[in-house]
Amino acid sequence: MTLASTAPQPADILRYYGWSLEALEALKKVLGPSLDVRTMGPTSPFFGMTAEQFDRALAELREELDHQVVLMLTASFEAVFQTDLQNRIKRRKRDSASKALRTWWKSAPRRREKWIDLGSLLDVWKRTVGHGQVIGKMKSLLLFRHWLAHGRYWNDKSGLRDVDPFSAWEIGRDVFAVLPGFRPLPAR
Amino acid sequence: MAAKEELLKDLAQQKEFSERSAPEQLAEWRKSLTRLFRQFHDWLAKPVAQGLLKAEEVPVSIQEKGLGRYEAPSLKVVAPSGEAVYIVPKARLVVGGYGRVDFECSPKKAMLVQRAPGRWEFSELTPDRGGWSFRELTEESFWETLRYLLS
Repeated sequence: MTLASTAPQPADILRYYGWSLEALEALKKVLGPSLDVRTMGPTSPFFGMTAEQFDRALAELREELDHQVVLMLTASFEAVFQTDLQNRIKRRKRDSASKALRTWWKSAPRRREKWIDLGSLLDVWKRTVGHGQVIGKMKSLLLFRHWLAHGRYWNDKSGLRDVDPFSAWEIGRDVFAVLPGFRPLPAR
Repeated sequence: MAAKEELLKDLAQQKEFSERSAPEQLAEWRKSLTRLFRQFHDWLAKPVAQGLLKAEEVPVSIQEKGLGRYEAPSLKVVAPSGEAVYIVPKARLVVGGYGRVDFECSPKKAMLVQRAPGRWEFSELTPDRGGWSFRELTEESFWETLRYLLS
């Protein structure tokens, strides 16, 4: 596996989310049913919606956007963990966490594929440095992403209820703030 | 407290706007509904007299954000088979129009939108034609719609 040099960072995903929220707000202002009818072209799927229907459509858009962004944000957290692991393996860092991760990597059953299940990797981190609570939250977020990524056909078991991108960001922020060797995420 | 002052100023402007324009908008909307439903009655008069259709006027109560609750006319057009088409105003405030009246004969439905004051058009979503298709409300399009719904 060759690591990409241009993987989107968590902050990029959060910026995308901010822009998307702004776009939704603009949509509401431009197409809001009480506004001038001339602002709307006849190709709009929102044409003819009542205020209640339009509000519901916006709420649906927001909910789907939130789910999509949580999916991508959690994926970007995974990318941070996976690239960090590869760096620790390749650069043979001498700190205790790197040594523990390398030892585990050598014995991991899937090491030849050079891709590791993030849940297992998080377990190693927990055993090595502790911080069970924040790592546990990240594992729950991972379960939520799993639920999203596989089509939501079972009842979500993450225990996080409905996660929005900001709460997902806080989970990432807490984890990267306590684990050694990671760059902390900025406050949103 | 600047945020509070700004918000209160915005709310006062909204209040003034809604107190000034909402009653005017509602009166205009009710007037155009009265004209529209009178037109429907005219077009239906002959088949009703012949006993081919029944047309029952059923007033409906509509609640709209910004306009409040108001009464509006609606029609139940019943065929001899018992099948009925409900012609019901939905809202004055709709995206891209000046009001909407639906023709409903579940599961079929047609949407009539006032696209300019006094200009009503049946509006149908036709993705293969890149969006919405519009057909002006005429006696012909009225009967075409009833035929589609009742067939």
